[in-house]
Amino acid sequence: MTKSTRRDFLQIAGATGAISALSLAGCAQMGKGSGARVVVIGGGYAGATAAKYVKTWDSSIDVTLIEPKQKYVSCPLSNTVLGGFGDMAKITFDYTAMKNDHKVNVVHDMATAVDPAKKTVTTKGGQSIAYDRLIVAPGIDFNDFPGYVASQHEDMVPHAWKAGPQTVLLRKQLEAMDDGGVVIISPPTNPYRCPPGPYERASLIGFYLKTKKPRSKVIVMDPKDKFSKQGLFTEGWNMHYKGYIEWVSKANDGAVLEVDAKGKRVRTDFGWHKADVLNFIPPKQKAGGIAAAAGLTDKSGWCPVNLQTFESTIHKDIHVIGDAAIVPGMPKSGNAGNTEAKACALAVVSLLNGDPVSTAHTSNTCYSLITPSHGMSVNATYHLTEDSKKYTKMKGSGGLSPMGASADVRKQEAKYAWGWLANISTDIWG
Amino acid sequence: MLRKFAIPMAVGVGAALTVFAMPAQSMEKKMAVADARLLAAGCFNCHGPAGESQGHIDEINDISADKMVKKMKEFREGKASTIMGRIAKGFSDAELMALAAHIEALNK
Ligand SMILES: Cc1cc2nc3c(=O)[nH]c(=O)nc-3n(C[C@H](O)[C@H](O)[C@H](O)COP(=O)(O)OP(=O)(O)OC[C@H]3O[C@@H](n4cnc5c(N)ncnc54)[C@H](O)[C@@H]3O)c2cc1C
Repeated sequence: MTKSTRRDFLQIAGATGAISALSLAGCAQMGKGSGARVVVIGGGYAGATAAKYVKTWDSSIDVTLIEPKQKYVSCPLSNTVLGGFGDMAKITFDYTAMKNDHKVNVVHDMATAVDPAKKTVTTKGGQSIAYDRLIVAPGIDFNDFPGYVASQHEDMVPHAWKAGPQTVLLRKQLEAMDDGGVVIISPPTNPYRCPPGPYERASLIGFYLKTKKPRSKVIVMDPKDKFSKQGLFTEGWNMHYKGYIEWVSKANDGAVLEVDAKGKRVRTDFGWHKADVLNFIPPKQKAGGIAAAAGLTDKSGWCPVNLQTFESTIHKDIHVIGDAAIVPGMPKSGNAGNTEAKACALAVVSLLNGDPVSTAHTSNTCYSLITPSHGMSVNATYHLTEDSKKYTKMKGSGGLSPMGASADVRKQEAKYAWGWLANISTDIWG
Repeated sequence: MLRKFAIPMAVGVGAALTVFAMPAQSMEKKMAVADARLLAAGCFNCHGPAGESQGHIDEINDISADKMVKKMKEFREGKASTIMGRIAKGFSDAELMALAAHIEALNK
């Protein structure tokens, strides 16, 4: 069956309400996309999803994923390691299924340059890889901050905002801290990766201190006056962590102006504050370095894209997804990146096949844990606005877990957080 | 599971439903319905690829399209839930029908 007759057939099937698998089976997608080359830079939540879904939706496309790491460590649920009840193995995934089951060429190397005119990607290992369409998903990098340059200071003062060795280091510092110590967490200014993340972290470090080092406490020194899921976190902190977690807003001199990494101190307007364990999360985040090197960023440091196809508005045939992209209306989260990747993958498949591009449809579901058995969530289902300038929620949909919910509901959501990780990781790397 | 997931996708199912389904609210009539493959894949991040869950969250690979639409409408209309009520309100009737038909087809 040719493609057009298949489509006609389906429309008729739709008209008579007879949509069924029989109309789908046996019509492999081997159209004009056949033999086309898609290269993906970055094998995280967004990039790995895109690689797998391009292949799923058109197996004739040759897909290459460039990712330096053999193993990917998930930021989502990495705060449970800091809390002392999660372990690294549970949040670590690899690319075996990507290679063996989904037939994606996985190149463990670092992309160092992109030539949008010649349509090639160069790697650190010296390879030059040609593409018809490129998908860039390198996550985030940090701008320098007074007293804190991630590459120089992260070994003393971990940000742990990229999971892996940084998570392990912060955990070790917490373990080594004497009872009675002070942990300072300094969250970033907006926009940044995972808006509720610093507060989940404060909660779970609070959990560790309360259970193992009860004379210690966490101080959150915030450059903001409000934060994501604030009502729910505050409710949880009052319930579980009275005396263990103190949140200092910008108005109360929370904004950190300078870091002394060696001395584990931060300076605010008022003066220096000494920590026993300092977790500084750099406030000036930007798209992963390769995005700027490829000329895909604007002056904000992030990448402007067409919101339907995720194609860069700067360079043709290059798409940007995940934290690196500017997606008005959506947060920088793993779940958001996963659904952006699916919209992008389908657009790429359609464009390579000369098919019309579907309108995009994305979502975010983000669980946060306050204790191992107290979870809550924020979610949204997004449609593209008619002018295609941002994503919006359908009226009345989405939002937060209710305040004052029962312990059973909180427990259920804590379970769902782990269920979400198991399923999204299988959706991506499985 | 892998085999099922790799079944070629329903090009045009979503488009077909845009034309023929009758959304309940007039606001929805204007809204373009995304491709059914995309709508369905939007369930898999929480419910697992093709709806096959690894645990803790219900699997959705074993229910008929009719039943899925019915359940989603119940959630939308206020049936008690932790999160599905909030999610179901984000879909039009046409979208629900498209994604449910697609997930049913994937798992046949
Ligand atoms: C503590 C914490 C908790 C979080 N919790 C949640 C949560 O509960 N739910 C949620 O949805 N989100 C959560 N997030 C956010 C989530 O981690 C990010 O939004 C998500 O990882 C973004 O995906 P990405 O693919 O854009 O980037 P990443 O996942 O960071 O992936 C980028 C990949 O690109 C690779 N890369 C970079 N440069 C190159 C290059 N030059 N060449 C090749 N490869 C390259 C990197 O090695 C990396 O593997 C959390 C984040 C943090 C820090």
